[in-house]
Amino acid sequence: MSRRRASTSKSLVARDNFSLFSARDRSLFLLPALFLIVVLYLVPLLSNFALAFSDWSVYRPGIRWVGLDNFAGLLADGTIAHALTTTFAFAIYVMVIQNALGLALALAVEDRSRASAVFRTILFTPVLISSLAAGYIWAAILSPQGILNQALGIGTGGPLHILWLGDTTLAIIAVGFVQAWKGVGITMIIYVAGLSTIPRDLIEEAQVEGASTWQLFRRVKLPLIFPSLTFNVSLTLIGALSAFDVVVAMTGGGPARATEVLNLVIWKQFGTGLLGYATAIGLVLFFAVCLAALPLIAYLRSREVEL
Amino acid sequence: MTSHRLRRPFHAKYIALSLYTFACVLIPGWLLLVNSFKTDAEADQLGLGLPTVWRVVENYSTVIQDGHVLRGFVNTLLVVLPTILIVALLSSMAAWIFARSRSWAVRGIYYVAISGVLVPPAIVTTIFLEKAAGIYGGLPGLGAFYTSVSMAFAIFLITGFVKSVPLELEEAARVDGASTLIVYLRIVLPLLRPVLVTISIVSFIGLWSDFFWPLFLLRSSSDYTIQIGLYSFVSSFPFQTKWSLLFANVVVVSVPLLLVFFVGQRQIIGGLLQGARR
Repeated sequence: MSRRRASTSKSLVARDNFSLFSARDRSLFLLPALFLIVVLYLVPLLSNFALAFSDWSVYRPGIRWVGLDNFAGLLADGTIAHALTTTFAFAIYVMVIQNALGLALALAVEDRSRASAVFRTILFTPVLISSLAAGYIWAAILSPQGILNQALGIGTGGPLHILWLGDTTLAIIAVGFVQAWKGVGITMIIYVAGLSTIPRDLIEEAQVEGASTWQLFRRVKLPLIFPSLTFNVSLTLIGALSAFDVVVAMTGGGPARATEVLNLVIWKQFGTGLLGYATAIGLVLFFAVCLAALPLIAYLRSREVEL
Repeated sequence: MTSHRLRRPFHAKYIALSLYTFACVLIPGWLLLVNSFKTDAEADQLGLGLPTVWRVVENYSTVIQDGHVLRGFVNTLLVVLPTILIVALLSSMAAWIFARSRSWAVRGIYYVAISGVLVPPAIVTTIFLEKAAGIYGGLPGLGAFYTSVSMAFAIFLITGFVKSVPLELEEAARVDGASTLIVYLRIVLPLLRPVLVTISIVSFIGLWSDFFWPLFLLRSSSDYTIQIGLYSFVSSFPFQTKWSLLFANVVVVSVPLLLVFFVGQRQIIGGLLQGARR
């Protein structure tokens, strides 16, 4: 044990340029977590780059390399182009409405009143319902005989039969709304947390100087909650790029594949047993997330410093 | 700050807030609950009225039997609880080192370890790997996968938390000759309680509600988790959706989380707020 004691006291003396831990302790504490992350997260992620170029399937035992054949096939039949367009349109739409709604709700319930606490609690409950269940509930509300059409019928004086989930444009709007609705409670709480860190006297000072509600938001609150905005925008965008459950519950990808997002295509290809194809689409999703989310996060972080 | 300047937007705010809350939370909730008590034919109208014929016991017992709800509860808890315990333990050990270490190599490893916060896992190749390791298809394979992919977010949050904890206590223990393990168990772990509670709650909500990963990673229906059970029950309706039974199943699957939330909501929202503030 003398060795450990020696290294401990040495590290205490020189802790600014050396760690508190012996190399052995460091490995013992890091390795279990790292082992799991490497084996079941990183290795599969990297295997994507190999298996996407193979003919891996459930019909044959071996695996052969087929070069770009999978991608050529998926490009030729338009699968990749369609899935990418659908997924990005869906994800950007979800990100915008979930953040706009989450921020609006947060501004409405940020104060310490009893009423706001009750609203916060109720508005958080959709987070506790699974996306699958949320999809089923909203499929009922939006069905032709459902309560949305009933309510609109009362408003317009006649029975309405809008096919919310049967129209290619309306379906993606409806499914995206449910995806945003289900997660907006978390978005709201993160914005409330950001707003609560703003010093009170700063807001009072702005009010004394005659700032309008909008100016107060735009010039004081928004710049100060920009880190929450970065966090929420990244979280909602990445979440929506990998959406699945809500789509399955509400439309199953239809009508006419209008809501077929990338993960749904992966699931369908997986069902055909052609796993090389499914992996190829997985790789497309990987690049979609990396090329869309990472530059966006970098941009937002640079704005944080500026503001 | 005269009173009329404050009061008008105040009223408008609560009207808008109430409208949203009613239209988008309370009415959907009521629709779900009330239709789960109706007969098939009446629930098919998808209205908001009370049932003319109450079918509470019949609907719920059908769902619990044919939807295999208890099996789903047991399977989900068998996967989720060990996952949360292991993630809390292993990620806090790693995060402590990450937070206290200044070496560039450890910093580099830290960024690799938290890359899962941004980049979602690859599902099909995970199956390839689990097959090779002989754990594909059952609850252990699902649990191992969950443990691995939950680690990134946990390490990210805990590392931030540890950095805000002063070093003095650990140093004092070191001077007294405590080993790394003792310092971790006696000093670090107790200090991490709040962040570990937050992570456990967030993980529990996420894993309880998860549908995507078990859909790929489970093969036998005896291993189905609750969300997969709900999906396969709904998919088993031969001709058209039986809304009364679907809603009853959704209620049964959702009630445990809602109960936990309403009992512990102060700690939960408070913990989330505190976690998000860091």
